[in-house]
Amino acid sequence: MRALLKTEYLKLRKGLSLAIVGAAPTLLLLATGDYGGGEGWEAVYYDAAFSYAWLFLPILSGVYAALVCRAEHLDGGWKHLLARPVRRWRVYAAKYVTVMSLVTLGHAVMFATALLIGLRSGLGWTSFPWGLFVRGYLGSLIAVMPLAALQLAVSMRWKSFAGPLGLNVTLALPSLLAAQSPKYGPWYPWAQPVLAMVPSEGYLGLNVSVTTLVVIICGGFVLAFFGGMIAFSRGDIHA
Amino acid sequence: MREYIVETEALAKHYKRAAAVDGIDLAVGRGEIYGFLGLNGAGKTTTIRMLMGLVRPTAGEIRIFGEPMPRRRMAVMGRVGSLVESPSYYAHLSGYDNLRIVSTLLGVDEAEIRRVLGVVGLSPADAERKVGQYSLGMKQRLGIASALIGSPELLVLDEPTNGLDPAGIQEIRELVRRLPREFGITVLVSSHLLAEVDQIATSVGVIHRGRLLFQGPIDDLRAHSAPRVRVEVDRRDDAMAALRAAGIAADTDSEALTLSSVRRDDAAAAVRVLVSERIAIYRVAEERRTLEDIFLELTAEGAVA
Repeated sequence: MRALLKTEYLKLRKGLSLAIVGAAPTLLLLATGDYGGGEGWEAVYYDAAFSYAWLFLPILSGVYAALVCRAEHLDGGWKHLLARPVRRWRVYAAKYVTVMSLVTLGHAVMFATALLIGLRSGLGWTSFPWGLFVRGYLGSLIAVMPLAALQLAVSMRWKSFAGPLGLNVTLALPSLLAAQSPKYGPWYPWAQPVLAMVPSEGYLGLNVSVTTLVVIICGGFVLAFFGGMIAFSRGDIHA
Repeated sequence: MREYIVETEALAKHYKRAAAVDGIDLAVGRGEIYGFLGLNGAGKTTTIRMLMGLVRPTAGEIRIFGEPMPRRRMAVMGRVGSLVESPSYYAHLSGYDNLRIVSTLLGVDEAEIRRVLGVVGLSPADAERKVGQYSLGMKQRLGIASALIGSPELLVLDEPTNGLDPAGIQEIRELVRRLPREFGITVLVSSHLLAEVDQIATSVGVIHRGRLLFQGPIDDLRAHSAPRVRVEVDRRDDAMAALRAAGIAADTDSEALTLSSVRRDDAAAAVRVLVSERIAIYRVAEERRTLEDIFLELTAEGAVA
């Protein structure tokens, strides 16, 4: 497994990945103004975290999923890799870990960017609401896991690069609308990250209820992750 | 009993409509260059994919190094190098980094990379370049290099000369010929070209429409594939008798005589005999047999191995 992770790292287009990770924070740094006029850290949280979680995050996790499969879809990489003494489920797991590592890196950069925006506006460390930020960022990181698993499952099967991305963007766009619906919001995978950002009384100190956490996030993860893994492990490799 | 490196028993792969591979029994002995010969679409690649564990057989059994596959895949595949269909590579990485990925997967030392680069004749400068910029011949050599990492005992090459220019074909051929000699590797190489297999293989399996028509030493196939001289005459029986009396080996079918030798002197001698017997000669022509002819002949004989 360590060898597989190392090869995933070797294969990754580092420049491109970093550019993708850095794009959203850069946009945000440029787009946001001054928070010094009494608005405080909460306003920074809502502006920086929300815009990221409702659109960028679900799209980016899909981009990463497509990116880690790209090298194999081009030029016969699957047969090259799978004719080696490797277990397919481990290949799948290594890809997922790589996707989530990129998501986590993006998250850390976003967190730092929010801090930077606040400090730039002259907001002090002492008033920084750790609870609000940590709960939101940690929660959305967990909430994006089932979605990332679904995106990886689709990307591994679908040779096209643009196909999964187009579908993903189409499904990510209504996430804010879906999130506002108490009926559909909790079931829509693309809305999970932004919902986990909204401060509310939840479970384990997170912003999501125990039902959402267990049924939707954990259940969804198990379904998408193991479903994709089993499909990949059993299928014939013709590419 | 001979030691077989690759053995299959009634191996088959059925797709919805048809059988791509229809019950074949391969037997590849140690140290051989086994030419797996068949037209495009005959089932070569599907068979190789099943051997490599990429495609699940519908029926039948596979043993590699005597180990059942795919059950013992992990143990077996560390001893097998392969180049399945077109070469596979990561175009955005250098040749060296492509090989580094393989050496990391196999857990072998990076010194191995320099060794295999030397074997296939890629220079250190070539290895630093991105594979996306390689010519097809270089990609093919890189593919073989990557298959050689970790010193495999079995090398499986699927159409390794496809798309190469004559110089490239010659290079790959010589490389393949060297491997059993220098490294004791058993090679299974597929091709749709009779001449190609004829030049490198020591034994051969002929697959046609998913079935193995022939399997055995290359010399046995040569007997089927050797060119002949066809002579059309008016009185075939008299002609045969005359040739036989003159000690010239010949055969006859419903249309013409065939001389086993294609030497010019032998043809001239045969014509002389026939003319002296006042037999009318309509036509004398050398007949080169194509793979299709051999398939037809093998099929007609019902020589299903």
